[in-house]
Amino acid sequence: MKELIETLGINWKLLFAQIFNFLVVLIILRVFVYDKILKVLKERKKKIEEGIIKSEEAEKRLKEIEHLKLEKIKEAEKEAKELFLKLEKKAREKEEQILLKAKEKENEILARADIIFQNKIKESENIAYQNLKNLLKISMLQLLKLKPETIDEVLISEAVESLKKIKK
Amino acid sequence: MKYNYKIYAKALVSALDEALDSVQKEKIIKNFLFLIQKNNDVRQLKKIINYASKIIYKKEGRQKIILETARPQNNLKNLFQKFFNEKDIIEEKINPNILAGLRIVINNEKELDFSFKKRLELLN
Repeated sequence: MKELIETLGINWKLLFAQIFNFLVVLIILRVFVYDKILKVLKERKKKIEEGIIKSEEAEKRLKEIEHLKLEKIKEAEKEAKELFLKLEKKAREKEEQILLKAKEKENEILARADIIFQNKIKESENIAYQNLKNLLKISMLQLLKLKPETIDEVLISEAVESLKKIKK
Repeated sequence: MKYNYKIYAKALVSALDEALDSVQKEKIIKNFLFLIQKNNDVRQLKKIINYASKIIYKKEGRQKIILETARPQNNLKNLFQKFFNEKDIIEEKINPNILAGLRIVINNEKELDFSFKKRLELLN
């Protein structure tokens, strides 16, 4: 053992002095520095933990906000869709009403036009018929002037024929 | 107007029925005319005579036929006699208003119009 210590070159005095110095430094550090460092570390740890918690909370809050946002978007989309369908339905109803009114108006105009057309035809027919009758009257009167005896003869013969029929 | 023309006519016919001869009939007619004048009903005279004739013809079973033409016609009576009774009285009358043809008036009630005027009216 003595040989080994000598081989290693250990000086007992120096070793004790170093141990002593070490203990002195240790005591000084323990008394003056260790608590402070520990406190700083604890504060640091606490801050980090708080930061992590806050970060987690923020993340959670963010997720909630994201979720809320998606819900709001869905709700808004749904409302927009409903509004769109409602407006589309209203527009379709309005369109149908307009078409119906237009159809009614069209039918009314057609009926009126038809009446006017029929009246015009009747009017033309009446005029033509009246003209024809006037022409016939004039012709008959001309014929009467030319050959009154012939007309007498024809009409009297007609009277005879009619009386024959009545007598039968 | 004191009385209706029908009352006058009926009275005249019944008075004439009771007359024995033509002299009496003439007297009745004169008195009747006097009565009409007195009652101021001369305006009804034509109606009275027509109605009285109608009553008489009806009693005797006869009809008065008037053949109206615009111009004189030959043999018109003979042509139409066959369509009526022998007792019926057929008269011819010129009426230029009918223009041409013939109008047959029976007892001043019925008429068969074959006149030219009627044809023109039908065109109106």
